[in-house]
Amino acid sequence: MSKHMTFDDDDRLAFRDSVERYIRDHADPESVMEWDERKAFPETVVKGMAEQGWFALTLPEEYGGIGNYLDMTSMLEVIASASITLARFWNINVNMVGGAIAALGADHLKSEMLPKLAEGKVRFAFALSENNSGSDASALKTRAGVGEDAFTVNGTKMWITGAQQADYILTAVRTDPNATRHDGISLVLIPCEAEGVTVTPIPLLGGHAVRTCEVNFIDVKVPRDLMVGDLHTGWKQLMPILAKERVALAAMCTGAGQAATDLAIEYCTQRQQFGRRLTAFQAVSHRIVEMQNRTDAGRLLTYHAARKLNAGQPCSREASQAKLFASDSYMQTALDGLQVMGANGYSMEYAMQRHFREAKVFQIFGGTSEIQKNIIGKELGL
Amino acid sequence: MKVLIPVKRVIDYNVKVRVKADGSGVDLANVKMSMNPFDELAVEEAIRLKEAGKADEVVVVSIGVKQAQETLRTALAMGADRAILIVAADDVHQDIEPLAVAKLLAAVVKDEEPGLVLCGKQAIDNDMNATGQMLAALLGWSQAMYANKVEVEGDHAVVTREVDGGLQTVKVTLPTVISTDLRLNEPRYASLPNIMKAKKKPLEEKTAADLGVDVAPRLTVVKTAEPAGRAAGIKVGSVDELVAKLKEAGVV
Ligand SMILES: Cc1cc2nc3c(=O)[nH]c(=O)nc-3n(C[C@H](O)[C@H](O)[C@H](O)COP(=O)(O)OP(=O)(O)OC[C@H]3O[C@@H](n4cnc5c(N)ncnc54)[C@H](O)[C@@H]3O)c2cc1C
Repeated sequence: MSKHMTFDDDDRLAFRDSVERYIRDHADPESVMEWDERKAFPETVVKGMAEQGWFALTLPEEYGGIGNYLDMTSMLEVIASASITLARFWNINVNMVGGAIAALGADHLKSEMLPKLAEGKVRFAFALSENNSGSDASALKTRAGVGEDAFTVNGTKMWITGAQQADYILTAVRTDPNATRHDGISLVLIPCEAEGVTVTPIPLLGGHAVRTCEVNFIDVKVPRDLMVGDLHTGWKQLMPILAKERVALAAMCTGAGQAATDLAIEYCTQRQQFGRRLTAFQAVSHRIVEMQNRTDAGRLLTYHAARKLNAGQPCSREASQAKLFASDSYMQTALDGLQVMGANGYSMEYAMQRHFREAKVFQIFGGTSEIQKNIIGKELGL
Repeated sequence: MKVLIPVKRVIDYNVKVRVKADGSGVDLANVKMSMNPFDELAVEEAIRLKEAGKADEVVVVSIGVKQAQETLRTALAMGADRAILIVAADDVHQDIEPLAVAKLLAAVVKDEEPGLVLCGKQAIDNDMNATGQMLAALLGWSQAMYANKVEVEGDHAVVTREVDGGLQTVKVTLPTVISTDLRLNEPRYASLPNIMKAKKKPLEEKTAADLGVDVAPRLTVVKTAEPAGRAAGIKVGSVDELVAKLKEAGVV
């Protein structure tokens, strides 16, 4: 990928290089296509990623974390260029739930969960959305009765990525039904083994290798010490975690968009029609140039947001700008990529159809493009 | 025992190579460079020897341009203990020929006194396959090239070699020079913590002149050309037609 723009210093380049090698050897296009087609979770590759130390990357240093958010961005770009599944799985486990435990968790929770996460021995999912609260997330209804030693959770979460693999689901629950909607929410780690938890995968258009699920809770008892952060303050505590998620998603769009661009370049410089390479037609080559341009612009916004994260500065606006731009770019790149490849773009033989299916979801999850615009607008005082 | 591993910075094996317009060589400006894959096998093998308690220090050495530092850092991140950079060129296009490399390595061996030199069988850029053999000759040491398996026991090594038509096992007395073949092992990936640790490992810099070796080229590259593109195929309608075409082409 060296022909592409990077903002990496030597250490990060060395790390990126090693990620590229691992991914090239373990997430080759045939395997990635097979995971998708067979809806098979790439268990051994995920284990290998943990052995490489990637699951510790952004954790606190005492748990082996030694990377920063630029390292994360660089790594996710490379992973997502081959497999969005692996990148999303990493993001939920390490960036979101691992990050939440590290930032908000009590000491006993950190020392119990984070070393295991770093070794890939515990797996997480993250549950905020519900059937009737998607964009309007703080309208969530999943209820947790607060007992002396335990919560009792009832309700249904929708669209929970990786719930089948998870040992715990970090779940946003309503602990105070009488408070205003933002003030009565708490975050709890619900053990998937607990009685009353049912996980049902939902058939979707793409991303089949890690299934997205409906998760139902009926009278699930969750020990109080599995609460992450403080009681009733979950909503406020979630905001920085969701901002970090947006940076990660933007990085994935950049890496995957680059892969789609590279594929279009490779194909169109070889394919001949009317006795010439497709790229000899300006209508094709200009389209590809725009794909690259968009991808690089998204990359710049993403690295900018990651720098702010590194500096510990608030970056809600920058994270939303990056996510909005990079996901819209990736979608447009997949559309253009498919068009310039003709029938082969539409064929299951090539990866372009997967980009076409997977790009769309980046405009939906992690906050839809419209919601990103609302966030940015608010930051602009509109 | 100390193990010395020469590592070369070469064009990454994934890069589509382009010949320079004047035919003088391959264009190396702004292309990704990596450690020669055969040298990676050597580094891995040495680290395994150390992990098995058969070696106590792994020293890597690279000869070439200053940027070869990056290659040495990669080796250190894989687990080598210490690195020596011998700057012998300032233009990335200047390749140091095997005899000069072997002489420089022989000088390093005199200083370092390793019990074993483990090198790649060849560098994937110019495919010379000569340095290890020349080094053994200059040192008057035994050699075992194209290793598929290496076992170190006391004062000797048992090396299974890949030879035409099979495997050959030889026993060589230490010190010795062994070169690696493709199936020796699977090199590890450098993890981020190890990349960071590698920054603190010693990297000593010398020049070819410090070691008193003349690296002036003795070979002249006459021409470099891209392989001919593959001609388009044709479709045949029947076996008879296929056979006729093959006869026409003089291949059956
Ligand atoms: C594959 C996949 C994986 C997911 N994984 C997870 C997960 O792991 N955990 C989790 O909690 N959630 C997850 N989600 C859920 C995701 O976050 C939501 O789908 C998303 O927030 C949008 O909510 P919704 O689908 O209910 O759409 P809705 O909120 O119903 O929105 C429908 C449309 O209306 C628009 N709209 C809504 N409100 C406004 C407004 N105020 N202004 C302008 N336009 C508006 C939206 O932009 C959208 O275009 C996942 C979703 C998918 C598809």
